[in-house]
Amino acid sequence: MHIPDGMLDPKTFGTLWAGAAGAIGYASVWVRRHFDSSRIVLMAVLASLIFAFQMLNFPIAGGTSGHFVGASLAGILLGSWPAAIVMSAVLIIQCLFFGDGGVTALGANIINMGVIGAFLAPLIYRLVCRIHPGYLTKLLGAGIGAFCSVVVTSAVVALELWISGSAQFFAVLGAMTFWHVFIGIGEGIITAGIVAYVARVRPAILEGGEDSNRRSTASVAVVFGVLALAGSVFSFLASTHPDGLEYVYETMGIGTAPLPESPLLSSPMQDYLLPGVANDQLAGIGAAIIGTVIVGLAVWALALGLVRRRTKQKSISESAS
Amino acid sequence: MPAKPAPEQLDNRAAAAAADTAAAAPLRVVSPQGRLLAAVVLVFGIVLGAPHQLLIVAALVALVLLVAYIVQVSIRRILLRSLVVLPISGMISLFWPLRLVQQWNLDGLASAYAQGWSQMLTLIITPWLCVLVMMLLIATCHQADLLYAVKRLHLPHVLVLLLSFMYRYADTLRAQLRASHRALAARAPKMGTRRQVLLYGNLAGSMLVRAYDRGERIHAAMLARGFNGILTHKREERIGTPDIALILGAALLSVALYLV
Repeated sequence: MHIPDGMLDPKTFGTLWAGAAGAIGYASVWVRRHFDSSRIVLMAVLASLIFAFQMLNFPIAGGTSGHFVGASLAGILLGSWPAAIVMSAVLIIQCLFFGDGGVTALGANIINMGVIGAFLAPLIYRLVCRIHPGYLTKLLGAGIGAFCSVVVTSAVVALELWISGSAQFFAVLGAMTFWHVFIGIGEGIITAGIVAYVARVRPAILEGGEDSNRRSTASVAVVFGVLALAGSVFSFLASTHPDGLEYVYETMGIGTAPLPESPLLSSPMQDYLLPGVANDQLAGIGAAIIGTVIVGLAVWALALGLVRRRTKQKSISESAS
Repeated sequence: MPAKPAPEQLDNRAAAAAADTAAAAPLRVVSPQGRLLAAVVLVFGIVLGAPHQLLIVAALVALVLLVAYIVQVSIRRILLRSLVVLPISGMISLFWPLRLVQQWNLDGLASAYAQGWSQMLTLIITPWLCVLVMMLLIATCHQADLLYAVKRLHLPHVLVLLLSFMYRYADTLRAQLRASHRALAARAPKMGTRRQVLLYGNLAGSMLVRAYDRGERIHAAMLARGFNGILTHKREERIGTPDIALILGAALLSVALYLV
């Protein structure tokens, strides 16, 4: 799943580098704020162990083999932000010391295997565990979480390759997800096996991870915010060609007649350009940033409203009982 | 009688000796961070320039091999290790011509592959050239020096600490995992898949618990030795004139690759 150099175009690897830098920066601040030096040493030993576990090759279909990724395990045991740092360290070592994964694609690899893997698996694990807390649901949650994180990550890799123009979308998506379903099964079994052992022998380790995840899940927004803003800034590199719908519209001759002006309301930022800015590229970046902030505020207000409503309902039910 | 070292230990020693020899060669005047920056600049240049003309590719390969020869690094080793990228880049490059398919039949596919072969070649050559450059960096820079370089380049402290620990303990844990794997194979050579999976889960789980215990012991030992969160290096190296010359050279080459 390591993307080598030369597969991603500048706008894609630049955006993902910016996103990865933001995520690593925030994760290291988070770790320093919440973890003392002993937990950091534990994190470091776990990072070394995950690096060693990547030796665990398992056979998959067609005479090929897959290997353990470890982001899900790190996310479940340590929490999402520490896991993102651990996986970044593993990926940097692989890139700089072994030439595995590209330098220009390092940001993409960190986002794919470090951030997505480290956030998705613990999220699914927590959701499954919340349905019915118990030993078996922990195994199931860990297994499903690890499986989903591998498959989703492979789909994201396909998406990045397609955006970069390196491959045809459905072909690369099909090939990537097909093989990664098998790798995901292997990852799920190994993760579930390790979580089963730890839950039996040293449940405190899992509780530490759950505590970290409770504190770090709220910060997912920061990652997506950083990614969205980075995307906005790099929007000037976007293709000027028409999108799929526009292309069909033009080739079928539907769009030849001029569209009537909207009689009721005109857009404040037509053609995604900030009014009053002469430079088109700057106007585009400004419009993208304002759009991102507006959408972010709207989602935040919605989430806040839902949380308040839930808290209110809970307090009403508690006072009634 | 002293114990015979394991093959992987020998391999590591050979690699370290090779890196030390290389460090003693002409590149020694350049600091690790200078070498790392130059390599990264060149990789960016190769990616942005995406060279595919045979002459330019041959000149780049010759340049890398010439540097390897001058700094006394095994050319064969660099070339062999650089091939590691070919399976993945080859696989991804196979998908590129599918973008050009007009009709989904054998003729359509053949025509798309006939049109897209040069782009396919670029998708194979570019990653290979980048890995070649990185392999030259790895061969001419000891791992500890590379760690120092990333520290000097202001990577977050937590990340540098993690990288240092991985450098210190990854081999030990790998050797332990290999030994457990060997013991498992010796105890039960013909085990069923289900039992094998269960045993691997237990093996990995027990290693994880032991690693946690080891982490606690390591932390206690570090505190006892006066660890204050700062990683020290045997000698401080700053970016000097040779570094700037090397980085500028890499930058000029990158610009040339982009413009050609």
